[in-house]
Amino acid sequence: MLGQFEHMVLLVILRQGSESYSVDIVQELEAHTGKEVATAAVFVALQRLREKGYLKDRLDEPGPDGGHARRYFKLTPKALHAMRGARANYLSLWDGVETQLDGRGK
Amino acid sequence: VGADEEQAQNALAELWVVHVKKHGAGSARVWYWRQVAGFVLRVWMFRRRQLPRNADSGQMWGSGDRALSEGVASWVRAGARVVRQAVRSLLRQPGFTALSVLTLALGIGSTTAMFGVLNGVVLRPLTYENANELVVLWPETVTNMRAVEWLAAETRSIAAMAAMSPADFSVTGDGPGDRISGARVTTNYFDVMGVRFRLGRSFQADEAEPGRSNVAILGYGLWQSRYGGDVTMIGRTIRLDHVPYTVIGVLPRDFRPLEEHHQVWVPQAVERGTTVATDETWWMQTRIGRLSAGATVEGAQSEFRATAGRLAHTFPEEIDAGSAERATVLRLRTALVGGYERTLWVLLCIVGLVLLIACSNVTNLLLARAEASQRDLALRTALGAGRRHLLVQLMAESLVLGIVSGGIGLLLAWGGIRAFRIVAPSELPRANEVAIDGAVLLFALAVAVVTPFVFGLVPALRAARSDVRGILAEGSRGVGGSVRRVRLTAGLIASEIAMAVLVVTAAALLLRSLSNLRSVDPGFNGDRVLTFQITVPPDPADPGSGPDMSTYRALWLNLAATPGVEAVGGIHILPLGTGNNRYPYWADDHSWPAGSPPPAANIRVATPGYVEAMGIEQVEGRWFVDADRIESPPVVVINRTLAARLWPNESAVGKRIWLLDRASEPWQVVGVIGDVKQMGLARDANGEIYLPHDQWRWAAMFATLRTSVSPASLVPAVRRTVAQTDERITISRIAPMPAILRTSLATNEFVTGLTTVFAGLALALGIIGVYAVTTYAANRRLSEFGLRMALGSSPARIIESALTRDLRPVGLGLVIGFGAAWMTTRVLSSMLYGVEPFDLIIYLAVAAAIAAAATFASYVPIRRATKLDPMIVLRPQ
Repeated sequence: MLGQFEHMVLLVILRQGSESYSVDIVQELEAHTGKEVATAAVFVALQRLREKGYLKDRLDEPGPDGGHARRYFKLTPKALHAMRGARANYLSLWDGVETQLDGRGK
Repeated sequence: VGADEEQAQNALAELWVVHVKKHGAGSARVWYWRQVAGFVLRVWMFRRRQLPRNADSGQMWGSGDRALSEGVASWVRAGARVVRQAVRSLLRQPGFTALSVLTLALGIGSTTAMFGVLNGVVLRPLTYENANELVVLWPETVTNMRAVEWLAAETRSIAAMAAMSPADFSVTGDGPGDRISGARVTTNYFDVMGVRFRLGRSFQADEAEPGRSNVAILGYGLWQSRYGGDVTMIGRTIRLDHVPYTVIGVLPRDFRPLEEHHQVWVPQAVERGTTVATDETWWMQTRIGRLSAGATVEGAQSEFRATAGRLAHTFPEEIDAGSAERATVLRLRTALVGGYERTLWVLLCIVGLVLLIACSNVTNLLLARAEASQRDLALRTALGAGRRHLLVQLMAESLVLGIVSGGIGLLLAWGGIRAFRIVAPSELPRANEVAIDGAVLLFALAVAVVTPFVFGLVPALRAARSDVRGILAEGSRGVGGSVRRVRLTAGLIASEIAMAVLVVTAAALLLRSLSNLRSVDPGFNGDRVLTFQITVPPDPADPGSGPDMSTYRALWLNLAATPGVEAVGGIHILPLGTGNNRYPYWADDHSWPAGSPPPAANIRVATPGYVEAMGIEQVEGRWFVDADRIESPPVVVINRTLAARLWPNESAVGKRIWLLDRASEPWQVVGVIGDVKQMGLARDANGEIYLPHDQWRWAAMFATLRTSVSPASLVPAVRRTVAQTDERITISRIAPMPAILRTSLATNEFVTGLTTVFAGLALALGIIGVYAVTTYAANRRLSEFGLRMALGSSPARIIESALTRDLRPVGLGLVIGFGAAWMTTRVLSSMLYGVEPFDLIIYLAVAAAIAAAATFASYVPIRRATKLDPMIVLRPQ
């Protein structure tokens, strides 16, 4: 099972195309949620996802301007499979109940 | 999270920039610490969850060698990672790294080079077999051959005893004549020294008998240079002092003679049936012994004193009982290099102080750097790096610094040792053995590994201790940095200045002493004097009467006629040279109580032209003239010191002196000349008696030529003149007198020069330290300065108060330094001439110089800081 935050991180990586860098993930998450994201949470999530085999990573060469070496993350086929499953679960659960949100809780 | 630590730091740094742009610095700072706190919490939780899993797997696989080797491998991997990270971290700050490495390399390099010298000269064992068993016996006296035999037979703690007397020989035949140094020795000499011969054999006992003693052993150098390494040398005949000798042995290349320039050895013959009383070989200068198994030097000395005392008791006429009572036994190593051991250790201590100053500087740099990277460090701690991990990482950086500096320092030491072998004074024993060997490499490695703990441990401990809360509490930067850090820095500066004071004072004392020595009047004017040694063969008509004096007279005349020569003289031992002749004497108006030995004076054999050629002052009476021949009445000239001692209130001219024997014919004093420094510039003149060459015929004389041109330019003409006079005359040791003067100061100049170089380094490093710290402090106080100026304080007031604060540790350092100098500079006293170890003027001068340099080094950065516009300074805060 994917945790919610993990799911979000994977989605951001998917949205960003082939590879993602931690800072971009944090910024994209903040842009989508409109809230401050704990950088630490992203790092812990990335670490855990990597352990589960959902992510592959590689260390980039340091930039020519003397910058540090960045670590890039990439989804594995296993991750895509898990996301597909999670999406299907979410969609089937949501099916027919979206309208109920409008009336309640406002 | 380990390797991600750096990623996290970099990510935060990037995001920080974004936040500052979007929300301003204040909000960004709050955001930053919230993020750090997030890391603390999440990483801690993450680790807690992971721990049990690791423990399980450990149990599952955790037995046997495999776990062990995996453990080792993981340690190696971890070590490699730590080192890689240290290197990367150092490369990120090339300025800091370069400055640290340069500072440390200078310190390590000079220390290693100095250790190399000490090692080569003093520490490395002598190259003789079991050299530790070799001792020098009774070096204070000369004995004859029979006395050596007597002592050897009676001293149980000495397994074998040999004796040696230096002797110079003219070697002729097989090419141009040459003068070489060598020694007359007892036949067991090389057996006692434990030498394996390159060719041939050692002397046999019966070769000390007259008539069988014309055998010679060649040194490797002479064998190579004169005989081209001819392997058929054994059995060949060579001529020493015009007498044929059969070569019986050649020494190995690595044999180091007791006196380095010795190249040939012959047995000292001793008449059959003589005793200590009747043996005439009273010139055996050096006695070498090998300790019996289990004997100690101290035990041997007390036994030897008793034996020497019995010898003096048995032969009271010949052996002085007082000297026997005080006879010493020294380890050979001590006898050879003992005089330099202390000096070299002192120099090593001095250069060690330079290294400590370098370490203090690097410590200061590390402290400043740690402060600048506090955020990174706090974050690393937050990321769970843990104190130990952080400590390891920081110490790894220091170790990398130390090792790299050690490598560069070793290169510097290599260059330094090469330079040393060029400038080393010629009288320094074993200077040619100084090289970078295993011991020196080990020393450099040890220094490179130990110094990181000296300079790096305190900053690392401090940095590792600093916790997130502490830094959060300090928050935005305060005015002066943490109190503890300021105190630490002040302490470092004080100790740097104290050490610099110590080294600079030592150098100043030595420089003063050297300048005193240089202004000493040697008693002669040698500016344009050329000297060389000549040996004239004996008169064929009467070989026992010394050299052929008609040849000598012809030589003096021919030399005087050589263009460019103004005056020609001759003396048997040059001033400021090595060697001396002292004879007991009796004089008119003086009697010595019976039984007490008569006083002794230096004896010099000289020619009529000597005083003029050397420009020595004629105080009274006359100098020798050509008419002072063997057939005329014996005359002497004495020096001012002896005249003042013997006849203080009257003229010495006309008085009589007896030499060697009260019953001999007296010598009449015909003149008094000025004192000449015979034994070195630092030594006061002794009583001296000059004898005319014709009345005391000496075979080997030093010619002294006063020239109208540069002395060295006359060498070819002089060689021609000598060869034309008589081709059997040998000529050697050619040297202009100014060069001899310089050589006599060589050791002083060497020690002073080295100390001055070290003092320059110490001073430069100390001042750089003050400058760096003041610059750093001034930059931290920019806002304070700005605020005070905005409030109307004048720059002068600000500079004054900042200077007072920054110079307080300098003042403390000066006080401590002078206290230390006062306590320790007395170790220099044996190296000082005409200056006391505590010389107030020098201390004040050093204090003024260091205080001025430190003030300047502080003033510049403070002044620069006050020049900035206060509004600009205040804005970013």
